[in-house]
Amino acid sequence: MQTNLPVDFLHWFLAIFPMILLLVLLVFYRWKAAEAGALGVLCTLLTAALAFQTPFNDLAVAAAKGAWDSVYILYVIWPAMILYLLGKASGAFDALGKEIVHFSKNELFLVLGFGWVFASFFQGISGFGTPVAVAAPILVALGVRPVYAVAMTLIGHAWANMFGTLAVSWIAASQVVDLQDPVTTAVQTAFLLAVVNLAGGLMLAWLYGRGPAIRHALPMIVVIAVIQGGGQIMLAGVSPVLSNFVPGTVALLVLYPLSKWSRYQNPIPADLTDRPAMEGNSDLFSAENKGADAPIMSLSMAMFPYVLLAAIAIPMLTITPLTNLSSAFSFGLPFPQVETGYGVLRGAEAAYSPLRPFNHPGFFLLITAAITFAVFSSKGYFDEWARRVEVPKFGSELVSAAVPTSMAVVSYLIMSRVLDHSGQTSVLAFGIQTFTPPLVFAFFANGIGIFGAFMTSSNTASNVLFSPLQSTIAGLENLPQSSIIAAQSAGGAIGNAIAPANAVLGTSTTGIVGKEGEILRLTLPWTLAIAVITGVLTVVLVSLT
Amino acid sequence: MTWITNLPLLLYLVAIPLISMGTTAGQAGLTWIGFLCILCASLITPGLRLRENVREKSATTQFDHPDGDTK
Repeated sequence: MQTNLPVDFLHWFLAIFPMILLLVLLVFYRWKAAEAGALGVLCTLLTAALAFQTPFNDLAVAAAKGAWDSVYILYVIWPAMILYLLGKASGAFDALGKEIVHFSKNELFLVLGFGWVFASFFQGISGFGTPVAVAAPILVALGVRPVYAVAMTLIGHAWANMFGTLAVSWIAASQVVDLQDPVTTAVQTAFLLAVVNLAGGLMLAWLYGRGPAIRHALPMIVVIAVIQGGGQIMLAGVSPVLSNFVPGTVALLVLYPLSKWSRYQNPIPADLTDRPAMEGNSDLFSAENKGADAPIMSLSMAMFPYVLLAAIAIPMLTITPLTNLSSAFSFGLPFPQVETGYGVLRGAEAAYSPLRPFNHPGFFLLITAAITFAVFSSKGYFDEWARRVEVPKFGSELVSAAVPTSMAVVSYLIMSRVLDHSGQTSVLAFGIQTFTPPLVFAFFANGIGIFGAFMTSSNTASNVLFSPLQSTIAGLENLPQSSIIAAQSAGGAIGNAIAPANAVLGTSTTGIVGKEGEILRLTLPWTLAIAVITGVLTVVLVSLT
Repeated sequence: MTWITNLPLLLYLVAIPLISMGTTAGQAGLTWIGFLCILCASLITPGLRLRENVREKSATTQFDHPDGDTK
């Protein structure tokens, strides 16, 4: 496609200006993602109209396409939030935590179990900060210092961000980029994330008790990393939607046989004396000793929604007749061809990006939530739990949790589409290509993903904002799109470990508001180290592809 | 959380069919309404934030005593 886009410093600066505005508002003025995103939309529309000769119709079409792209993601966010709130309102999470504590008397096993395995499992089904909100307080109850508890969950669940929540970030990347080879992209992403996963497990053990803790936990770390990281690699090419949820659930179940091994059944070895992450005694152990607050339901019942989700999603995504039947109904909206004054042309669409509502992760989550509600209601869990703790109104809690997240997603997707339709993404890419040799760019590609997640606290938002740019540069630099998108996606996952909003979520649920800087001091070195490792691996992947 | 904080999300979503119908059928009025929905949604959320900032600031300065003490 021939365009006459102006590639000079002024236009390059104007093209990147909406991103700079986002950075300033999010990081320096501490605006929420939805607030900054909405202003970002206005800024992007202005630069597109004034500096990139984008006519009104083009702006409107781009904005509507961006908003439509978001429907795919909102259709996961809302049902996932409903399922999470059902678990919370029924006491299922409380039961899950208390039952797992019964497994073992080994403090390190439990720290890894909750900070890494449990947090990752939660990212697989819910995401949007819930792993930190749920797992960090449990670690504190186990006797972990609050700053360490938040840092551990941030690091422990980071790898699961990309394919977690039934692969919502993957869906987002697929919405904004025309993936040339989706299977290779998914597998390479999973490969990079497997390294992040292993590094996460090792880091948690190191934070707990340095070298001796790593030595004691090593067999467990290897087993869990093979299941989580290896499982994700195996499934990513077949079904990205299930590639995190299934290994995450299997890893959680494997904690049980692991806890029967004497190494992890008994208390930690006597020589493990230096435990900087720990303070005081465990509330959970003492609660158990007193017999107070028995779990409201059994472990199997607490796990019921997630087993059910797997039972619904796996056949729907893998049995061809079922997949065909559920995919039969689809709808998309028509859009006309549009072109800017600089010749950036986007073709007409009879049905733009058609949505298949019955073969979508959101549908599986909705069915699971409906059945879970019926079963838990019939057992009386909601009433019983409401007698024990003050439970907020379901509807208002859902809206107050899901609307800000949804707003952020919609606004970032509109920004992304307007940047693309106006040619601003191409100008940015041309500029970066001029000054960066291909392999240097490949090395730093994950850094862009990390930066996006740092700004927005979301792998999904990072992918939406930067995948089109990364893809365009990959094309210009003659680099394989699959490896560069994999690096972007892995970076988006890693960046969650240093995202301020995630840290705030952790500090607010563990009662240490204002100590975000101390958390960052623990998570930043790990983030930088893993950024270098995945950068080198991206260069290797690029060379091999 | 009040209704106005939820309104922008609805406006963004309502804009989709309006713009699609307006641009494909050549009905500029519909396209304009849809585009206005996008603009309003993009103005309301940051507007609410700015109003909150102004309120916080005025609440702080209101209690500032000239000699630096606060009441």
